[in-house]
Amino acid sequence: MSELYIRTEYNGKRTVMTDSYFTSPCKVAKPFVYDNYTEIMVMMASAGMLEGDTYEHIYDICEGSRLKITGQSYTKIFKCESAGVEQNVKIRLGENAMLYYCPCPVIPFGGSIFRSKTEFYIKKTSVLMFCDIFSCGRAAMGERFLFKSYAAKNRVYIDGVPVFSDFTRLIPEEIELSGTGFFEGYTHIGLIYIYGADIDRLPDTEGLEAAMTRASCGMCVKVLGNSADEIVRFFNDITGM
Amino acid sequence: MVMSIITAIHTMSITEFLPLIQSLDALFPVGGFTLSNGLETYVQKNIVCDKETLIKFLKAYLYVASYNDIAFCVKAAMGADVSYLDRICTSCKTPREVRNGGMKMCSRFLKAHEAISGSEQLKQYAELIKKSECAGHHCIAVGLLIREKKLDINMAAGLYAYNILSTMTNHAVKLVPLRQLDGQKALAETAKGIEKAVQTAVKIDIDDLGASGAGFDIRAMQHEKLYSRLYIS
Repeated sequence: MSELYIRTEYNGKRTVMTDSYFTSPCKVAKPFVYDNYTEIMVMMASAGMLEGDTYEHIYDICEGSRLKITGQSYTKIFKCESAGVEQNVKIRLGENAMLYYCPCPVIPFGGSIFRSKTEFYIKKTSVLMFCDIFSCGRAAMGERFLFKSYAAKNRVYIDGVPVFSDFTRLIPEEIELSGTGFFEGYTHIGLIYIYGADIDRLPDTEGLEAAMTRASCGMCVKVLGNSADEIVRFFNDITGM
Repeated sequence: MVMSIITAIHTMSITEFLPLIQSLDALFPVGGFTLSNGLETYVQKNIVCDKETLIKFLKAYLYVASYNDIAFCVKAAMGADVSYLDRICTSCKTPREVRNGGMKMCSRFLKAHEAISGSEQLKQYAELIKKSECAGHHCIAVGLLIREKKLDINMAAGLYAYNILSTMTNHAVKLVPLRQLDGQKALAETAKGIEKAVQTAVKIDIDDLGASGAGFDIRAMQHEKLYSRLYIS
């Protein structure tokens, strides 16, 4: 099992990492401190995620922190036999803390099994933005929908009450995923959720099929596209980070 | 012995099913005829344009519904905690018009039942909605009616799933437009999947409720900005 724990605090001037702990293959780069936020990059000292891997990540983004969490390049899920790869992420946001959680786009290789659960425990005064991007496989080399299963659950709680859920559950042998209702001819799907900040309209969406809505709590943008980079850029344009 | 089992299975009479059949009838005044749940976008973008593309749409729609509306209905019918179900349902229904549409149908559903049946389960649900402890979703209200009337869950949820498909088919016939018989052929073809959809809805864990189709969500969100609209969602 690979663990990662990060704690950030606001010291009156900027956001600093006050505690961190991680086991192989996870690594944390030295934080980039910008004027109005700090960026932490979580790296993986391995080619990708393998059968039987479990990742447990916990973040405490304390009161007043302003943080962006990113990854490096892509998360590749390799071919699995039966156990698959499991990832659990828990993020706690304090009062008036702001987070843009922008993990690597996920590429489920042929034969892979992936289960992830990302939970955000926030306060009414927090600002949360997170995205989730994944592909139908190694699309550039024509590998599409050859993974065994891909399941990703994202849920946001405010003071313990679930206010936003987004579950993706893709099993190619159960239903045609390339067309109506799912990928609709595209190779990538992206989601960005925003709580505590408003967006009036979407940036330029050429090449992307994007739409925005007011969820029961917060805003949500979903997008179909043919490139993870394009979707990441589009999301960064929305958040301005 | 065998005979008595068979009789036991068949003791559920049409009379017991009638309140549900009436509630799912196209004439029941819940306003389903104004809600296309994104289908109008599919038609305007020419993705759903004939019988074949309608079948593809309905198949995928039923599959996603087996983790959503049908599953919420089934879990409510099986006696899951209503407040929790309602909260999860609200948090999962991301496209605004789809969420609001289901809530509007729920309030009309409860009003109609207050007038015709005085169902205890539905009355309690209405109370929770009034106290803002629940948002009120049509799928959950249907499930509570099934529970109240102690109907066979597979059969009852199957009727609900059929209602979902037939409503969407009717929308497609009007929007595309399609020949009535092409609509019926598409409905008959996709209705074969109802049994499996209900089995899925019954067996999934409560934690798996709400698995979505990104394409459906995006089309339902785009509907908010369509230039000309005949439907509310």
